[in-house]
Amino acid sequence: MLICIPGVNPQGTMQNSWQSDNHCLSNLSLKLLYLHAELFHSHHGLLEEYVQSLFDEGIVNDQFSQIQTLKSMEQPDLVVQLIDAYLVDVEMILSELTSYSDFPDVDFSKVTLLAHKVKDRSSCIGAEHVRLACDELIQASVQMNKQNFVRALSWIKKEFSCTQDKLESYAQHGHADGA
Amino acid sequence: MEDEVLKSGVASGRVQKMTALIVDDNRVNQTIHHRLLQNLGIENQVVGNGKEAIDVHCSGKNFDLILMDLDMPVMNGIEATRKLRAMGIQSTIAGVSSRSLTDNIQEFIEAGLDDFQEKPLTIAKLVSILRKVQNHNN
Repeated sequence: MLICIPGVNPQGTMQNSWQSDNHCLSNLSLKLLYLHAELFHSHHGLLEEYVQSLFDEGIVNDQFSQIQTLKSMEQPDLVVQLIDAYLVDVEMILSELTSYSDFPDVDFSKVTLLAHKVKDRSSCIGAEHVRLACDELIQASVQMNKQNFVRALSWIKKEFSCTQDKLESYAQHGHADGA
Repeated sequence: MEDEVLKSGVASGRVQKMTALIVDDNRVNQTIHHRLLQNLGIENQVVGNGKEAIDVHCSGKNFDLILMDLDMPVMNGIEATRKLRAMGIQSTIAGVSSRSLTDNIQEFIEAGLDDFQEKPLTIAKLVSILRKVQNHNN
């Protein structure tokens, strides 16, 4: 089947050409492919900029860069999976810490262990702000100072909430990007 | 650069293919350490606590390197390291923890560690550990 393709000749006058529908579809496919590639590169560029902003704000550190290098063809969304697991894990630990803070007598041996767990998880994923906030919490727990512990816990929850928002945004973009 | 040298060494047979056991209760850490070692050409297995590390050795398996986390449920890194040495396990055991050396890691080291590295484990730290394994094996 032939399809009419309107066009303009070098002299500037209208000149139609006739192409087979297969040739047309092939051209259309190429154009769509090109458009898709443009969109992909544009989106990928935005993601890279977003990641850079996370570094600039100190939300993440070099360890996060190391994590990025671990993804492969077989597991393109490995980083997103790790982020999701980290966020779920730390949220649970912070919830447990909060429950301990509600008691008049805090079991500081338990909360010290939990505080170290948050630091451990945060160090390995590269969540810098949360990692730094852990040191205050650990110190307060070791000193068995409830007032400082409550204050440090409040700070770490604030830092985690901010980090959670940022990493969740990254994860959403990452899914779309195949990251 | 060093990791590329190590990888090419393993690939060419100049460096004997190493095996490693990752002992850590956290899934994120397990995945990261597993992939880091895998990318360096190190065959590795993962267990979730010190007791599982003992059990895997009791089943007859042996490893050139054991990456031992400190804080784990059921059996922590200190107790697991002590038990492995008591069993006669001579593998290189590297303790890894987010606790720093100033946090009283002495008991962990005295349990029988060959090395201690503060988390996070980077390629550079891992290569440093693997060099110790190579020297130990030679």
